[in-house]
Amino acid sequence: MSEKIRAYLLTAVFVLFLAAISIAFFVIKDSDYSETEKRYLQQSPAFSAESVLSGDFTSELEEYAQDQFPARNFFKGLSAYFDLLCGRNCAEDIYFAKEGYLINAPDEDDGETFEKNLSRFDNFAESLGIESKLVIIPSTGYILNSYLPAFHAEYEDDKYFAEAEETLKNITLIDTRDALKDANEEKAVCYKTDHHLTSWGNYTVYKKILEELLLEAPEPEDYTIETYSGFYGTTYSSSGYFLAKGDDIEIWDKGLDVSVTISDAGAEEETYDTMFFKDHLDELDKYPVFLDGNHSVVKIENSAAKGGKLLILRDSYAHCLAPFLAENYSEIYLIDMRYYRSSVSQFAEENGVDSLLIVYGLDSMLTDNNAAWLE
Amino acid sequence: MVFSSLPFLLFFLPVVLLIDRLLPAKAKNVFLLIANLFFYAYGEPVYVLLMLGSIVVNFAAGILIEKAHGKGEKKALLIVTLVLNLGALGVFKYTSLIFDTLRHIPLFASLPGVEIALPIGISFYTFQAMSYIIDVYRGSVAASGNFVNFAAYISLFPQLIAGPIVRYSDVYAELENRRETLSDFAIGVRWFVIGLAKKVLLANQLGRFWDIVSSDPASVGAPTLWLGACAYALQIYFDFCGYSEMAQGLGKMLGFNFCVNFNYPYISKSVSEFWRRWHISLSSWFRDYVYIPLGGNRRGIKRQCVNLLIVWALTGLWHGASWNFLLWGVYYGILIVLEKLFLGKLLQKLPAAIGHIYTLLAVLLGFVFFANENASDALFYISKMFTPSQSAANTVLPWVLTILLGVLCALPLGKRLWERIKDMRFMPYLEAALVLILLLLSAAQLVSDSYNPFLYFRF
Repeated sequence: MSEKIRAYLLTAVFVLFLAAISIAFFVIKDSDYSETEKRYLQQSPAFSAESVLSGDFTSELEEYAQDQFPARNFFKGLSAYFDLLCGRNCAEDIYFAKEGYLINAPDEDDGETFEKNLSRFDNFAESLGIESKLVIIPSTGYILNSYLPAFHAEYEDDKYFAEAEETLKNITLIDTRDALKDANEEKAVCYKTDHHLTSWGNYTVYKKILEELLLEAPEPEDYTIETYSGFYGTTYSSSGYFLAKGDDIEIWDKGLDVSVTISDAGAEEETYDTMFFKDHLDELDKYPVFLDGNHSVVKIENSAAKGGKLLILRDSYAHCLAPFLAENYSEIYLIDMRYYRSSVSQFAEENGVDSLLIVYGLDSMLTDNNAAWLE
Repeated sequence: MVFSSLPFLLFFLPVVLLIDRLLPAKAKNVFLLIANLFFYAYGEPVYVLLMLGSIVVNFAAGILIEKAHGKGEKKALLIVTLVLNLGALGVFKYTSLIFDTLRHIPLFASLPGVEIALPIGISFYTFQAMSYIIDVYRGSVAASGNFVNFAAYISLFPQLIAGPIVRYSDVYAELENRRETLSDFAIGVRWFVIGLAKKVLLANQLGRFWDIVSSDPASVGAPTLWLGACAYALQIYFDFCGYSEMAQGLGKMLGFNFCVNFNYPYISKSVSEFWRRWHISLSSWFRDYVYIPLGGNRRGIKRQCVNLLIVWALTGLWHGASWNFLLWGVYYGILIVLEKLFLGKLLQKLPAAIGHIYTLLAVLLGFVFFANENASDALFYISKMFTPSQSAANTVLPWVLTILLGVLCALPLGKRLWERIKDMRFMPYLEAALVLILLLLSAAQLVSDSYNPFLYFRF
């Protein structure tokens, strides 16, 4: 009897599993885009003799099956949690750290990119001949070292900061390491599901920059702080830990009367009267609420500000920082070298900027080579 | 197509199982042949013609050999067929190795470089075809008179690309008349799911660690190199054994009984025993079709040692067209000869633990030669293994549990436990739950785009 039950049960489980996934695969409509993974998904490949013979068809079919697999997010998460269970937390690219922090493993030092970026920036500052500062945002794993799981790889931020201190001749390095660690005692400076700094973290960086300029920053009480919950950032998306809790995201609004002009190559310039793009609060990843996320050139004008014209070379870490600085500069130009391909020095000259600030996360300093276009 | 891929699980397998059930017995083999060809053409849209050619030649040769009058004529036909089979294998598998080697001789220095992509599974189906031809020649099996059945046998998708090497004599009865029962199907499910889990949940994960270690053997430190070699040995085992078990499972679902290909090789107390437990269908193929015809152990100990070395050199080369595989084979040949001469008897007198340690060490070092195409790289790796040095904890420790899990699964512990408890009343439910969990986890690994290599592209 038991043999019969066994045979029925095993057969039923297997057949139903196969039937469920393959029927669901065909019934559920293919999606174009995955919001959690932030990428376009593979669509059903076109069948032709050519694509079959070249092997493109089969590799696209494999990808198609993977991307459009029913309940893909569930399965991705299942696999991530299984890896965790097998003790492979620190073998993955994203660590599952204490208190729900999802933290990028340290980027590998290829032995040249960091150094090259430093000298690109230094040379550029020299050629501009204006007051220049560099903010390197330390890695989350460095700031939150005590939160990391056992056997994590080392975060060598200290080594990189020492190297930067030594290399830079024409730029003042603004060291936010201790300030951020201290500030984190009070309130989180890092998101749990995203690699960027929180608004509190950015306020800390902002204060540090003003200190360097011998200026006083407004008190936190001077801002109107709006809090939105349900922010799921990039470490959430790429890790697959679907049970992770979302973050709160805060907008620190000083009520400045600004005009924001966004321009991208091949698109028309658009002007807005706010630095906060609240449409993005409806999305899982709410970080683009700051300055609408990544753009080639963004200009922030604040006619009431006392300071001059600031040029910021940035990666995405500056999206949240620039709105704080708008208080102090009448014009801020943000340029993202990942998208900008013209001469930056010409741009600086044409717009009469009088100081330069470079804001890069340590991760981009180690891996991004777009600063090579800097001239 | 490989079993551990989503298109196989989503499209191919459900359709094949469904249609196979719906068809009457008479039509099953025709459908099976179509499914086989589709399965093969999915990965090898051109070389499917080569396989068809091999099928036609061997089918015709079988009939001709059986009908031939006189020993001489039979033998001539046999030789011609074997030359054709080995010729195809030689051209498609070994040409570039031969050319690359000949080019070292000044006379042949101008030989062109050739890039012939190896047809997947050619070593498996060619060996199956040769076993059939030799068996027909020996009269131990009747030549197939049914082209569809024969073609379905040579191209049988469950064992086409990664074995086991199934002999015609073992399956011809099932080709003509097989019963598909529910209890067989359930056994097949068990085999298949366990095999899939071995491949996806163990081998692929262990392979990730091996990739880290082998990419930089100079600086990771001796403890990591040892664990890396262990991880590789386990990866190869779970990968290969996993494929064989998936093949067995699929065979069962379709009504075929394939031989067991791996029988817990890592519990062996000698290298000879290891090879009686590892890739059994290959070692028994070489035993029956090379070793015994060469005289086996019947012509004195000297001749036996020579025979063993020949067999192991060939076994090594079968694994890939590169001299490191030959070296790896000869290495085993020498160990097995030594065991025949005195080592085996010595080991029997010593405590079992010594035999285990010796075997594991021999196999582990052997796999370092298997993994490295250059002997100098392998020797470097081994020399580093024996040079005391430290390893960074965070490269190794995230993998320790995975390796431990691998070791546990490579021992027959699960099997013994199973035999104890399988008749308990709750077992069918527990078993079904386990099968579902393994299926879900395997699918999860496949969906999440992690590492999923196919290791037999050189076989």
